[in-house]
Amino acid sequence: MDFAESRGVQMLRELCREFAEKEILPHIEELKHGSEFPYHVTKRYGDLGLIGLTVAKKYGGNMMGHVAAMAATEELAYHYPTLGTHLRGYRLVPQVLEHGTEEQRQRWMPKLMSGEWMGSLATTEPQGGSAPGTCMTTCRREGDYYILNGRKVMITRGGDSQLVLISAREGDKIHCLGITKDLNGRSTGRRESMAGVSAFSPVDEIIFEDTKVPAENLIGKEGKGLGPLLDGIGAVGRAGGAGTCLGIARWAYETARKYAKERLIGGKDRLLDVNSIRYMLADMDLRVEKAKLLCFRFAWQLDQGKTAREVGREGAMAKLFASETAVYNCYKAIEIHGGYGTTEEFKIIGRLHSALDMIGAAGADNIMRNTIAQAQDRD
Amino acid sequence: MKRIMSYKIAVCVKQVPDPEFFSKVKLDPKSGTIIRTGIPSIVNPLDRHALEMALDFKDKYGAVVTVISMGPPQAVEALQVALAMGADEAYLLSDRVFAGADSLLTAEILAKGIKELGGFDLVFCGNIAVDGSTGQVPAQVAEYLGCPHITHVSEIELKDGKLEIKATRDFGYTVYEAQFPLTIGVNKYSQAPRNMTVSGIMRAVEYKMNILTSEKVKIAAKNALEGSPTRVLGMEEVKGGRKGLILTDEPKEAVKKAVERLVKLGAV
Amino acid sequence: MGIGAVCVFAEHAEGAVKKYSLEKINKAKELAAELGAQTAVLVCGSELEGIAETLAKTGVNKVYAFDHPELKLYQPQAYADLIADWARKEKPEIMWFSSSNIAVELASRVAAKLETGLTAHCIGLELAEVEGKKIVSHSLPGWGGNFVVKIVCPEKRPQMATVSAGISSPAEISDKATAAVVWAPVEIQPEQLKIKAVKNVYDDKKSDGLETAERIVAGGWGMRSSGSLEMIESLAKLLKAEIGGTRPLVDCNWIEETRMIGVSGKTVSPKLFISVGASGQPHYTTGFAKSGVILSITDDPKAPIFDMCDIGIVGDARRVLPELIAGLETVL
Repeated sequence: MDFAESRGVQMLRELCREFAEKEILPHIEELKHGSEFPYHVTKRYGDLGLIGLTVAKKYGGNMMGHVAAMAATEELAYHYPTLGTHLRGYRLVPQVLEHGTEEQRQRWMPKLMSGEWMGSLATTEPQGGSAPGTCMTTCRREGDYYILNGRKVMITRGGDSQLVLISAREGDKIHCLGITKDLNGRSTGRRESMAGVSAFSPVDEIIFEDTKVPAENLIGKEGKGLGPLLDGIGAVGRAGGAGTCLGIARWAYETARKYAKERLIGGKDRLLDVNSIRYMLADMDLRVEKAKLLCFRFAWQLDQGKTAREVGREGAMAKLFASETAVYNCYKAIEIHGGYGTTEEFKIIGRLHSALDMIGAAGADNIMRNTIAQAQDRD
Repeated sequence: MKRIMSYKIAVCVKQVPDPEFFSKVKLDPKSGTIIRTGIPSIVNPLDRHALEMALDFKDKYGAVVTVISMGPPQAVEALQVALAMGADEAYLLSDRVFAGADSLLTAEILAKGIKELGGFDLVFCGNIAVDGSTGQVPAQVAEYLGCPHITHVSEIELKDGKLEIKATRDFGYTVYEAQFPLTIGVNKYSQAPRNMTVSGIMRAVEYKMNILTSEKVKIAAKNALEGSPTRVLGMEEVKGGRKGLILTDEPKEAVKKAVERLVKLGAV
Repeated sequence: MGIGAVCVFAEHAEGAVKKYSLEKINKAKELAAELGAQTAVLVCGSELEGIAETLAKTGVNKVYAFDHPELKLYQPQAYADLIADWARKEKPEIMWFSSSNIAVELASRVAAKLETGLTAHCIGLELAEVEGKKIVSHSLPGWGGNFVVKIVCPEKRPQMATVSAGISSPAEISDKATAAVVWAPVEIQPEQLKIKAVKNVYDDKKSDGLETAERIVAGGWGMRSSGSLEMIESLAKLLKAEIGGTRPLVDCNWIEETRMIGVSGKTVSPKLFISVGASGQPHYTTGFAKSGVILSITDDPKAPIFDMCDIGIVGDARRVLPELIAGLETVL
């Protein structure tokens, strides 16, 4: 077993680091408080080739792989959590479109790959939580269209995305449909103002009122809508969430260590030399390593061609543990920073907020436990 | 604009210690060179500007861009970054014989490597390296190549087959007109160096690196350390300096004491 | 001329000799006296009568003027050929150039033509005895601490160097010329103008301000985490100070190249110099070592800059600067 990171992945981390440090961080306040969605950021992800990391070359991607994507997500989230969320989101829709028709891919992929368009996945509903199977948005076929009625909530960038993939129920069949921005009858409802991991990545409610969706926007077969969506959610979605948490966890550890190294007590002793601090840091370091192993093992399995369903257990473990580690490390980082831990300038509260956001995202932690338990049942 | 010609461009790049870790760098008292083990390396920032200028020239007028580096085997990493940014070919000049070269020997080695590769229409170098290098290499490479040079260049344009160049001066800049071939020392280019891309990275790691040793690049001297006209006589610790008041208090308290002292010293 | 002179390539602008050239001339006289050698100054340009006359009053033995209309602007090939040809004929022992953009390039090309050693950005020049000979020991800022590296060119001649400003006090210009001015014959061939200077463009925004400023606030690589130079700008505004910085800030486009402080940038000596977020690498600190009072703020308690400042604050600039601004407001 070779655990060494390849040169290509090292360079990819460097690419992400430069992008974050030179293009995003200097403008972070404008981005956070801007009134419009910064589409130019999406375009940059496209220019750099990040969106195509897990998309086949024939569809316009570069297929550097899931391990590479995990490293990129971690590295981006390390510098600013929402950057990890963005990468996850942009990669998600193309993965679902692999179940679509050639015509749909020709129509939508080039724009998604270049970053000219953003994609979102919308399955969450007010009553149904995120489990796509409990979908209550209805649709009925009328000639060349599907007519939609219902609401989707907590959809990341739902209002600003040019293409949203949704689940909709027709009787006891669930379809997967592609909703473009221009469709009549679709509107954006309530916008959750979330900082943290949703900085310049607003979370919206989408309302369908007799929305007419062209029939050629059906992805996969009628009644077989769940498969494509779960595939995206369980692979790119899950890995992206795990990677984002991993980035936050590593940031918290490294920041705490740096602080302890430089902080002098009484002008001469380093905080780092205090035993209780050393043990805390050792613990945080260990947790990051554990999370790393779970995350990259999952990514590696996806690279071996495993489907989301086949490695559901491993994906759940990665996300769950990375999520818990992110929260734990941020909490410990606050402790190590003493009184400064909760001040705005040290930024840990913001990271902790992001880590807490991630508990319910990309596979809510408790649902992940359920997934692991279900896998145990199969014995 | 129809591209009739494809220019051949070489860019010299150097791998240097990452400035973030400069405080950990040590000097080898014998050779005067830097001990870099354990310190992360980057592509010299001005070399990236040089590469951007070359790639921009390629985008505008058509060219094949070859990057060349003289260094230990590890310098391959710098060449890979250049390839990922869009360079077409890469060559590493590496041999124990080259170790300890001062700027004149470095220039000789680079120039001979360039000649071995068939010569180029334009040779770009970063003006100076952050690891305290001399800024002498571009002009000296030009001498060994027998072609004109110009350094501190911030802009370059092709007009009717001739080059129009801006070279930075303390009063502003001087405009030069030049013919091919030319060696150029690049200052901060007006355009920021482009990023690597994912497909660039994938190409870079697949690329079979070309290595040139002293077999193909022969220098006049037995080895570069001995052949270098300058050498380190020794190192001396700088004594005295100022005995400062160093404050480690909390900012408010530290600033209070600092301001008191500034007033006392008559600085404010 | 004779073998073994100590020579300086002098620069000039708008009818005046550059101060840093006069400094080197003074140093040349000092070393020449120790060696029992002659001194010479080389100057290139057009309509050099006034300049040559001034140089003839600096106490050197000879002035060589290369005067030609084509040399009015700096021409890389022609200048290098003239100087190198002169050196081959007159065989000087030592040749010094300044650290200006032009001088570094010119010295480099000449050194390559003469296949001799060139030491860059010297901050000190003295004689040392090596293998029975008295040769120049060039001091350069060392690495990773408070070291000075000494470089020598034991065999090849001339011993060449580019020298930072401030190496000595400027040579005094006496009332009478004591040197002979030699108007060297200049012939320029077309192939020496394959690269040709067309015109100089003067930029009013260029800051000569740094070199004459009374107060300077400079930022280093550590400012990156602040996201911008805003706080430094506020502090500078309050103090009516000029802003400077290290090379990484130039590379990030946070400051112009003309505001870079250090051996490859500007050498400054204000009454008050405040360094923020820089660890104090010698290449940087040499640029302001001669300042009146030096205050340094950086978060690494082991930073070398704390060995060469008058007041040091160990701390995060993001927290210290607001306090400093508030604190200074009360006393200014």
